[in-house]
Amino acid sequence: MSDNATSESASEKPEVAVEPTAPVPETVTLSIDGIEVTVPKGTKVIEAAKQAGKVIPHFCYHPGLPVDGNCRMCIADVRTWNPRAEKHMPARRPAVTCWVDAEDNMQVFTDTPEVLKSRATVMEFLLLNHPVDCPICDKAGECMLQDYYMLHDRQRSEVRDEKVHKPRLVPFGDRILYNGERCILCSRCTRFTEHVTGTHELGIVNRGDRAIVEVVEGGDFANAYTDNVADICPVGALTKTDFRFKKRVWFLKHTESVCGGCSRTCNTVVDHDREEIIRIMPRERPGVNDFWICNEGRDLYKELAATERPAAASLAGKDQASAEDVIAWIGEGLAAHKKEGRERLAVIGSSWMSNEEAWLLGHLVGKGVKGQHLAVKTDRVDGYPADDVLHTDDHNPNRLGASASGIAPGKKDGKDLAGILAAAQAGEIDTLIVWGPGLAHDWGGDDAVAEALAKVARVIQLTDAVDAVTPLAHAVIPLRNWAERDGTWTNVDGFHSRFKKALRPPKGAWDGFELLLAIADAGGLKSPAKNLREARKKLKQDPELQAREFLDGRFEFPGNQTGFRHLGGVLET
Amino acid sequence: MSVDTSHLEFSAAARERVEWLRTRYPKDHQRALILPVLSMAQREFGRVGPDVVHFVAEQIPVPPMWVEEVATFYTMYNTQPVGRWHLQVCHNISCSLMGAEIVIDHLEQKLGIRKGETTPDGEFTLIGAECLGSCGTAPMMQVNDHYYENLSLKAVDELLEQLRATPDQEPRAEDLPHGPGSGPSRRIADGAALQAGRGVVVPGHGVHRRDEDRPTVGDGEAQPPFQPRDMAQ
Repeated sequence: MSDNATSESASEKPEVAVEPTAPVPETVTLSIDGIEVTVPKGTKVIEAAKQAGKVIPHFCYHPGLPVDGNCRMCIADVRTWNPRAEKHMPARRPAVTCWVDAEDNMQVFTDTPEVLKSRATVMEFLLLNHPVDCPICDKAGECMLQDYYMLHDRQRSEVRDEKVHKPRLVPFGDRILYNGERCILCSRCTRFTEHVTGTHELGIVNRGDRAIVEVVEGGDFANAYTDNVADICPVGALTKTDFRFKKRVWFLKHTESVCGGCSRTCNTVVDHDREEIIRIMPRERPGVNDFWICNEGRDLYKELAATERPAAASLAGKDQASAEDVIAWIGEGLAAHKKEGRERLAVIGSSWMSNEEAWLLGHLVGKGVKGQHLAVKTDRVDGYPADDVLHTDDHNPNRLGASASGIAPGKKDGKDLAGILAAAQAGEIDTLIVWGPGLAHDWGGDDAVAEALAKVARVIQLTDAVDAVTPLAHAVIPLRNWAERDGTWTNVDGFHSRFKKALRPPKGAWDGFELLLAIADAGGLKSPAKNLREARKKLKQDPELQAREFLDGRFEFPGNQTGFRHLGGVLET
Repeated sequence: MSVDTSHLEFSAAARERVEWLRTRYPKDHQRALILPVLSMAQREFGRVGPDVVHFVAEQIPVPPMWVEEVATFYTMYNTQPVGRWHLQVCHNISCSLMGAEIVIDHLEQKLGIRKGETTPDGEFTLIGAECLGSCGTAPMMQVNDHYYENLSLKAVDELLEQLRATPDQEPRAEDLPHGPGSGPSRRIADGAALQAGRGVVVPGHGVHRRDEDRPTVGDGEAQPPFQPRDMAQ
């Protein structure tokens, strides 16, 4: 730089208009088996390969954990560009692709005979002391060691010595059992406790062929996320006591779902067989739950199975009422309010309603009948306390989505939950529609609910579970629960997650959306959408909803983005 | 964590040393303190059991699991209590060729214990150690912090007698140089005790390579046993 420039720069600087530009993320372009990919700088080669559609075999690497590079399985032929020689440098040895950053002009070969042979050699070491007890192992069928063995090695062990014996069936807390002999010491579980939960319960003690994973002396493996270590365990070393010997994984059917345990709405996979949920597994969803779910969410299916469902639709004063009778009665009731007394109609929605149901019910009551009193109740109050990992302090999944989609007090003189209670107690409500169980949490106990409901002429409960309101309601229609229907929920941060129908619903249980359509028909109300698909589309385009802050341009229904790839049945991440 | 460490306390000197060590590492790399502080704790408390592991974790402070991983990884940390004299007989290739197994068998018979056990009177613990880096003077063993090299069965017998007769002298933290792995060493210096032909008395330290450095053997010249070696000199 010349003197001139330096002397002037000081005085000129303030005058130079600097265009505020968004920082452009630096990218690099490399080729993976001849496929060109462009990735942000700092991306590991193994991740870049994923984008090229090449899953490089790996054990210790996990996108949700810090890189460790101990298993050496992800080795590949990585050739860097030498600008001076203007050629790719031949690799002296296979590179560990989970550790190496992608570089410009890099050439990566992931499946040459040499690379496959190197990996087979690595596998031979990993299998050195592995018992190969797949026939009695719960992980069989979704075991990475098994899959990669079939992919690469398939050779007999050359070892003639007895394998090293290690502790087996070691309980890690109540929920996990550890088998030291199957363990390949990839350290995924210890890194999980170190970097995800930060609880530091697990570590690898001893060394060499005596090394095992252990719970810290005097401690217990009892945090709220322990079961994740069994999911990320690439072999059968960590198994869940809840799932052990319940089902062979290849019998499981996988349905994408969402956890309703709290307002995080973690994306899950419901694994089911013969109309029974066997287990709930996490599904990758960046921004919501990343890769994890909590133990409470995994146990939600037990709660579901234990729930007492209403046997059939019922109508007060009529024996053997069919669902159509009840729907007609409800429709007529709503239509009556449309003519007069619209302030004497109240709707108490649920946080377990899907956005589509909430939107439709909000439309029917708010726009159709011009009712003003709509509110979302608190369905659950118990649960893990909030923490920094996933748990929120609200144990109701879709409170935000339900209220934003339409179950909110009307602008004129809409009453909230407490207002509706006061009005009911004063005998000012004629028709009360309650969605789902759990009204007692907000209304001060079962007795208070009974007292208030005694003064309401028409109590209608649309529910998937029996509670104190059910025997008091004049009309009850059974609903499908979250595992039996399709819908979306919006989590506490405004992310939308879609759950799908996994189980066949019990006879007589109505899909909430279809039930509302039927009620609209019966009451002569105009439905804004003819089916779920249309509702979803309109929900997406609703200017009122778009205007609401929480939607924030994120109203989309992402399916699988990067996770949940099947690799011989494995939840491959 | 539910491990009681209230009965453990560092001596003033050890505390001072920990604080001094602390200054050697950046604030966010205090994990590096685990090795020297564990070593210090072993000298203070004689072992690094679960209570000591948790005590060390509190001192640094780091999660106890990190300390446990380190303490169980390195064989020089004794997770079990050891006797007053910790006999660590090297049984790697060089020592093995020179009869380490014979030395171990002899010690087992003599002490009435198996490898890995402690005598009932708490005097001796016998273990087989991996290479202690003294291949040139095989067979050898380490007793507490000191090397005894060019062992013969006779030398071992004499050594045991001398150790039994030695009053209890726990090495104190202030006697030790900074950090692990640099403890003082003693060597057998009794020429008469060595097997003829391959015994080399090595006063001082290191393997003397030049012939003129090698002292002669068996000429009856009296040398005091248990010559302490000071690394600082």
